[in-house]
Amino acid sequence: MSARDELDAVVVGVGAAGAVLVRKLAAAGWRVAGLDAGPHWDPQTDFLSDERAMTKLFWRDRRVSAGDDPIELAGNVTGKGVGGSTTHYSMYALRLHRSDFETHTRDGVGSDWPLSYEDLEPYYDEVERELGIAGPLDWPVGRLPPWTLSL
Amino acid sequence: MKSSPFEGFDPLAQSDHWEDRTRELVLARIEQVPPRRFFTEDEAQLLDAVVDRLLPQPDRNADDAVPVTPFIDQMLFEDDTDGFRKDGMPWDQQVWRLALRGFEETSAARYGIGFTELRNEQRDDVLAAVQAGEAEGQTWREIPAAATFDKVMQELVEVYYAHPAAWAEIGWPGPASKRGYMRTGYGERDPWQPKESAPASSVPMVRDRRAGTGPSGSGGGLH
Repeated sequence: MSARDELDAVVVGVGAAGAVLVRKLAAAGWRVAGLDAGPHWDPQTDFLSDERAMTKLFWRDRRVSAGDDPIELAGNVTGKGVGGSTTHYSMYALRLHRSDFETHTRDGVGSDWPLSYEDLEPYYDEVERELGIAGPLDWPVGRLPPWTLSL
Repeated sequence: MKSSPFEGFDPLAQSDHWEDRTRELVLARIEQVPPRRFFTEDEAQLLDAVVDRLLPQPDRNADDAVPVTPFIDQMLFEDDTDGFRKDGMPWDQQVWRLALRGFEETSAARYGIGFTELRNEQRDDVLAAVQAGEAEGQTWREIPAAATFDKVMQELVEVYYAHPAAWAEIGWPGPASKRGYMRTGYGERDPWQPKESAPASSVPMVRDRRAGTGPSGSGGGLH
């Protein structure tokens, strides 16, 4: 790709959302480029098993937190580099329960979602396949793909 | 200070099992203490005195103590900071200089001498006043004392617990990678994870106090 190439789309920031968008557009046949402010980390050489050293993955450019009660702009929900915060995301990714979508109807609290579990299910399937999210066969809620990952 | 329930435990004995790059980084914290480049000599001495009260290490001689000031200096000199400030607070470099100046002002207002000349209980009085937001001094009219104290404390703790000597104290054997944890059930531990020689859990302490058998007039037998 050269600087003079004509593109259909440019995605600025290829983190959890942008990177997915680039891939979806490219898969649909668009000519697309993704830009990111940070490096393209290589886990084999750039990652260390040390919390203090790995703050380098966070977005730490200068910025100001304002308002009546300015919040801590915690580093660990950010990321600067290709992949964004997913470069250091190491948590559970659970589906919502069916009942979570209708807490008002079932329990008289909160509000019902305008969507049902069934509406979201194909997207759960897709993103879990895409991100390699796995779980046990006997998972009690919904379904998690029982893939073995080599982490 | 009560001796560690992990007396004699040495996380570095595990370092052959760490990834090479991680081992190099951790050993460098011991062997290559950063030079003073950000603070003045007076500021560094003052911060040493503050650290000595906030993270006391009475069981370690000077050579064995976890160096904290040099890593704060490095962080500020290299601008290796969180990157954000709250509205009304200056950038980190300025916060640390002002905090040290503020400790001096409060010390002078209360005792007529500098912080490093104070006795321990006087130092604690100054630090507690800053933490409570009740400290005297022009600086504390420019930046909020309590919020500044919290920030200083948090960053001191982060530096302290990045050092293997602090890991030894709390019984943390260092990074699990590359072998990983194998025994992950409740109450299980891998052979390379240390076991307390004395109870380190606060559960017996609470139980004892409920039963009226614990030490009276204190938080219990553990800290």
